[in-house]
Parts: sequence; C-alpha cells; structure tokens
Amino acid sequence: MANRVYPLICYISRLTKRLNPRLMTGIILISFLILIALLAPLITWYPPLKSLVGKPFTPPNLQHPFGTDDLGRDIYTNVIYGIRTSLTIGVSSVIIALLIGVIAGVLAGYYSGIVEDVLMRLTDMTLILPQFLLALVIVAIFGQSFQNIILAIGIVSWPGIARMLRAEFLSIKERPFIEAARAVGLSDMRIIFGEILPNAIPAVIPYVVLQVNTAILVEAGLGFLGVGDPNVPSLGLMLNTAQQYLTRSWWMALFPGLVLSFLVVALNLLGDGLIDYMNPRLRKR
Amino acid sequence: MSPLVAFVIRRLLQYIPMILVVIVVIFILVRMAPGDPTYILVGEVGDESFVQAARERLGLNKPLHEQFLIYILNVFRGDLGYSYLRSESVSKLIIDRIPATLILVLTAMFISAAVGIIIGTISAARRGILDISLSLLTLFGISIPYFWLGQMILIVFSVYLGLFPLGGMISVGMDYQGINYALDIIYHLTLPALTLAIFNIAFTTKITRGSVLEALTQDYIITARSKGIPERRVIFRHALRNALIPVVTYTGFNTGVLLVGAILTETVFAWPGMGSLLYDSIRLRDYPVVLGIFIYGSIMVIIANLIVDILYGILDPRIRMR
Amino acid sequence: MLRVIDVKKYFPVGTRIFGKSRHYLKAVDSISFNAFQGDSIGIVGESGSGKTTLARVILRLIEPTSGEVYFNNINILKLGRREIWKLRPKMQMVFQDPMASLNPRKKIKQILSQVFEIHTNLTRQEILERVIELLEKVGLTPPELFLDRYPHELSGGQRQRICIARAIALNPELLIADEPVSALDVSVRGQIVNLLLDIYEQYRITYIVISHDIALIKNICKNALVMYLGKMVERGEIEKIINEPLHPYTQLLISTIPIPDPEIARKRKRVSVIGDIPSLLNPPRGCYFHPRCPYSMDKCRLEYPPLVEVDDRLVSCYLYS
Repeated sequence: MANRVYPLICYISRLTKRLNPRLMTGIILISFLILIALLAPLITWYPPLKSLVGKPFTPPNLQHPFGTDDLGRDIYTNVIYGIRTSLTIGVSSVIIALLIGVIAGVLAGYYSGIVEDVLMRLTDMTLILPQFLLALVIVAIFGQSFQNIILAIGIVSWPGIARMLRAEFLSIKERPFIEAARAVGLSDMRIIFGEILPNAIPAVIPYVVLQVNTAILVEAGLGFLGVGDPNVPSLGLMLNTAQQYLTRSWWMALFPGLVLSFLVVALNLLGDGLIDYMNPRLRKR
Repeated sequence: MSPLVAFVIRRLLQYIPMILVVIVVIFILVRMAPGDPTYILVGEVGDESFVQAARERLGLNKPLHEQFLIYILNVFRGDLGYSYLRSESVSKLIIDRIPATLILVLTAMFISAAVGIIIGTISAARRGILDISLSLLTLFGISIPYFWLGQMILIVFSVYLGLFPLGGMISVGMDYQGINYALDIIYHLTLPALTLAIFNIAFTTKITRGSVLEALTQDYIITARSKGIPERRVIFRHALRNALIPVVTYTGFNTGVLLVGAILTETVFAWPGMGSLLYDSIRLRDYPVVLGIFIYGSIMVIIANLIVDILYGILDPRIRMR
Repeated sequence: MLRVIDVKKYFPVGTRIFGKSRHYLKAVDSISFNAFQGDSIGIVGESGSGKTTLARVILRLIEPTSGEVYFNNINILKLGRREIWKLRPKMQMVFQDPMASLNPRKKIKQILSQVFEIHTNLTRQEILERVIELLEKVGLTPPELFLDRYPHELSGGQRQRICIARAIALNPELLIADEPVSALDVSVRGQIVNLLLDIYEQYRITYIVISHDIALIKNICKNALVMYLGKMVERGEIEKIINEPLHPYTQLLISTIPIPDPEIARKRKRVSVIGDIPSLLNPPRGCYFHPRCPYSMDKCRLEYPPLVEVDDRLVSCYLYS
C-alpha cells in the first residue's frame, strides 16, 4: 500500500510545483463547485423550485439559510441547483460552439482561397454583433427552454473559437513538420486532425475555459432580463425575481449573485492561470 | 482621391454589408421560429383581425423572396414595424430611448478609461503588494456580474443609506429647469454610471497593465532609464504613451460589450433607455420591439467600430495602407 | 532515374488587387539535370539561391510555374493526387531542421509507424518490428530506448537519424537531403554524413544533397550543380569542379573551403569578390553575377550568358564562349 501511495504523493507535489497559484486556486475552487453541483440532492433539504416550502419573504434563518423568495421557495436549495444549471449550460453551449468553431476555424486555417475568405468574413461580422442580444432574440422567439438557451449561446459564441483556431492553424501549417508529413504522403484529414490540431489545442484551451465563463454570464444575463426556462433553477432568473423586491428583501438578490460571482471568479482564475501555464514566457515577468 | 478618403470609403464598404447581415439573420430567424411569424412581427395581441391585417401588410402570404424584399425595403426606410401593444412605431419607441442609453454609456466609458489607465499603469510600475492587491481587485471587477453589483449598490446606497434615488432619470413631479435639471439627471446617473464603469474599469486596468508591462521590456525604456530619466517620467511619458494604442483600440471596439452592460444596468436602476425598453418588451412579449432593439443595437455597435477604425487610420498612417 | 527539364518557379510579389501581379520572384529559373539510378548530385549555392524550392518542386510539395520532372519516365507534375500519393514512398526528403520537422506531440514510435500505416497493410506487430529494424539501421540502439521518447527528449543528431529513418522507411528510389547537417553541432556532423553515405552504398538510390557547403558535397556526391539566384551556373563532376572551377562564382565557393596545409593554401588562387548577394526581387541585368565578378566584361552587363559545354561540364559564363 505504502509503496503505491508514495509515488502518487510525489507526482502530485511535482505537479503543484509547476502550477502557478492562480491555476491552483482555480482548480480547487472549480472542483469544489463541481462537487457541490453533483451532490446537490444530498446537501439540500427541500425540492428545488417548489413553492411554499416556507413563508414567502422569510429572511435567512436556520431552516432557510439564504431565506425564501416571493413564492416561499427556499433560496439556498435553488442556488445550489442553480450552480448545476449554470455549469451545464456553460459546458454544453461551449461544446456546441466548439463543434462549429473547430470546423470553421480548421477549414479557414488550412485551406486558403475562397473558403477562407468567406468563412473569415462571416466570422468577423458575427464577432462584431452584440452576441448577447442575438442570443436573447433567438431564445425569445424560439421559446424559453433549457435546450434553446444552450443552443442559442452555443450558436453566438463560435466565432471567437474559430478565429483563434484559424490563427493557430495558419502558424502551425507553415512549420516544417507539416511539409515533412506531406512528403511522407499523409492525407489532408490526417494532417489536420493528427498533426496540426494536437499542436493547436494548448493555445485554445484557456480560451475555451474563459468561453465557458462567458456562456455562464450570458445565461445569467438572459435570466436576469426574464429570458430563462422557468422550469429549471437559474441564478439569473432568481436575480430577475429579486429585482422586483429589492427594497424589501435584500437576501433574494444577495445570495444568488454571490454564488454566481464565486463561479465566475473561479473560472476566471482557471482560465488566466492556464494562459500563464501554457505560455511560460509571460510567467517569468 | 486622397488616400485618406479612399481609406474611409473602403472601410464604409466593409461595414455596410454587416448591416445587411444583421437584417438577413433576423429574417431567417423569424421564418425559422416555430409557429406563425406574424405573431413575432406583430407581438402577441389577442385581436385576430389585427393580426390578419398585419399579415396582409407585411406580405406574409407572399413567397419568401418577396417577403424578404419587403422586409429589407422597410428596414432601410427606417420602418421596423409597429408595436400594437404600445400603439407606437418601433423606430420611434427606440429612438426616443437612445439618448438616455448614450448618456450612460459615454459617461461610463469616460470614467473607466480615465481610472482604468491610471490604475493599470500604477499596477504595472509598482510590483509587489500593491500590484497583487490591485490585480485581485481587477479579478473581482471582471468577474462580478454587473447587474448584480448594481442591485447591491442600489440596496446599500439607495434603500438603506437613502443617498441616491431608487431609479429613473429625473425626479418625478419636481419639474426642474436649466442647471437644476442637469444636476437632477447627474444625481440619478451616478449609481448606474458607477456600476457600469466599475465593470469596465477592471477590463481597462487589465489591458493597460499588460500593455505597460510589455512596453517596459522594450529597448527604448532601457535606453531612457540609462539616460537617467526619473522612473516616473519613464513610465508615464515613455511606456504609457506607447502602451496606450491597444488600450484606446480596446475601448473603442468594446462598445458592444458596454452597450449590453448598459442594457442590463438600466434594468436595475430603471434608467429609461433601450435596456428598460427591452426588459418591458420581453415581459409584454412585444417581439417587434425586441427585434428592433437588436437591429438598432447592432447598427450602433457597427457605427462605433467604424468610427474607431477611421480614427485609427487617421492617427496611424500605416493602417491606411492595408 | 530522374529527369528535370527546364523547371521554373516564380512567386508573385506584392499586393494583388485585380488580375496578375507584375512582379515575380524567380526562385528557380530554368533548371535542368538528369540523375540516373545510383547517381548522387549535390546542389550548391548560397541561401536564397533557390535550392530548397527546387527540391520542393521535384517532390511536388509545391507546384512549379513550368517545366517537367520525370521520375522513372513518369511526369510527376502531371499526376493526380492519388497517383502522386502512391509515388510518395519512392521519393523522400530529409529536412534541414530535424527538431522542426518532427511533430513535437508524437512519440518516435508514432512518427515512424505512421509511414507504414498509410502505405502498407502490415499489422500493428509487423509495423513495430519494422520500426525497431529501422531504428537499428540508423544507429539508434537499443531501439527500445527510443520508441516512447518525444523528439524534444533526443539530441540533435538523434533527431536527424529519426528523420533519415522516416525517409528510408519504405525503401525510396530517390532521397533528397536538404542541408542535412547544417542545423547540427559540428561534432555530430561527421556521424550523420557517414550514415548518409552508408545508406547510399547500401541501397544504391538516387541521391540529391542540398548544401551551401561545397566541402560537404565533395564528401557525399559524385556530381554537383551550382546555383546562383535561381539559375544554374555550373554543372559537372564534383572532382573537376573542385580542382578546376570554371565559373567565377564556383571559384568563389571553392576558395572558401579551408585547406589544412598552409603550404598548399598559400598557392591557391585567390578570388576577390566584391559586394553581397543581390536581391532576387531585383536581379541585375545581364549575368546575375557580374556586379561581384572580377572578370566582368561589357557583354556580361547586357545579356544572361547561355550554358556552354566545356570539358564535360556545363557552365554559363562568357569567359568560355
């Protein structure tokens, strides 16, 4: 047993030495939040979204640590489940954005000519438009469902990923090992996915983490404007409800926002830490 | 034709198609949406004869390409439809709200540029504990959702301390004139502008810090130091001057983010701009206004980018060549 | 057998708004040569003389502006993607910078087995055996030690051995080595040269070695082709070129070879050359070498000298016509 544990400890300690403090903090905070999201049913004692589990507008007390809202729903329970929603929406919408962004970025980065021109024009235009408003319009007219929110956020956030991947592809494409791969006779597909993409990913990962962050904030913003799925606990929607009762029950706004900020801080730390980690030149400064 | 004029024309030709793209996107989305597009273009009004009349007028029973032509012509005439819920044309509703939003955005932009550049430079110049704490503050500034921050500021300063109004742009029923009218607006503007600025200050600080740090590693800084120029002068005169270009560009191109920020902040403080209009329209399911705000918002962002682009070309002759 | 006929590669220069651009960079200009099975040809020239571009055209890694390249009597410039792909194993290249020409995220095992995966139907086990065999062949022993390494974990010389292994994996008939040792430490250059010579002797393949260093070419090749600003200035047996260079530019190159014996060195004819290599974008009129040439005549300033045969060699210089 001991001789198994020891190498593991060594490995972990070596790893932590290489990680910068921001990245470490980010990883710890995010792991903590993911754990909470997974354990939500175990650490809450009311069903989420259920009305009148307490008296409406109850200030924080032992039964309701974060108080209750206008319909007597337990804010603590809904905040915990809200973390779940935020993370799910953040990650799923970025996966959608990645699917579109990788295809567009790879095509535009590898093939020059008309394909590149058209794709990059499209990307630039979409990048300039207020993406939040576009997502809002999509959800508003297609219906306020959980799936539509994920789809809408995914659809508006691909251009950044595409642009970044294209830049990486353009520079990696010129490196001699790609010519060597062509000389050996590798197909375009093998060069794109086997040779270039693995080398492009490290630069894109931190950006993807920050994109998850943006997606969570967009979801919260949509919820805050009332564009959310009322059947899913959402931190943004809770702030929307709280807005109407700001003068009488501060707790309705305080706790969901605090948790949302915590989530965003953690992801920002993770993303910034990853940028430093992947780019050691900047770390020394 | 002078190169500058040619440059401006080239940029205009680049940006105008974007407005077209916005219109195409809206058109496609509305037709793709489930259900009858009439309800989206008119809003959920109960009266069936109303809907039928609108369907005729918008040509919704004609083939798609004709619908598209009608739509484009309408948009370029400035006709974005009619809000039956408010009995007012969409364009008029939105244009009435634009000045309020602009006041908020420009005030916040000005405050955040000034404060952010100073803090960012200090943070880059003084390493150590000050830099670390400023970086930490920046992190929170960037991370905290500003609409929530606005709510907290409102609760503390207006609800509990009673220092500022609970919302709106002017005191109802006071009927101020002249200088008092302006002061009243500033009084109402303080909290929303502050909220929006805090968020943007953090971003500007982050960019300035990075940019000044980058500049400080350059050879001309080492030269300046070795000449014996005082450190403060080296940083503010030499490093900052060269670091400012990305900061200015960023501020300009960031208008889109700031506009969205303003929309959310307005909702908190009931500031009567486009954001409040959007919030109410969503609640009322007044879709024509929601679509109209997207179109106007996009056009505003496009114009802002165009202005920055042209200014940039005037300031830096190298850009014009491209 | 390889026949290169009048190959040209012009790169368009400057911003192109409508139609064709007016300026071209003539990286390779009318190069022709033959190489029979088992021949070894050195291409010599300063950096920027178009050597590497020529190699790329021969392997069809880039498309030439015009010309023909026959490989075993097939014009490879006319082949479709599929057909050129089938020919790839037969014509291989070793690149200049071994670190840059190996994918940094792949293990040696993966880099080498890839070649077999795409061109043969061997099983995993058979491929592994071939890879081990290859590593032994290029002197990386014991091979097991290298299979799971990444390129950055090897030394420069070892990396170049991997590149050579990749090139000879499928028994090529033509091998182009582009500056095979210039990125390496002087101490390991000799070993790589010996490895290249061993492979040459073992397989009797057609060899093209590209280098700015005529001394290296002397060690490896029988024939040489001297390039200056995209044009061929002299071609012939390396022995003759070294002993009695005809073209003034070749004389310049030879005079740069250090001679260990000071007695002989003192007797060597000195060539005084003025100025730097001119820009390819704006080559001088007439002979490209005339601004630097000590024998420059009026004729040289007017028209580019044609190739003439002198003493079994081709040379383009008015001194011999």
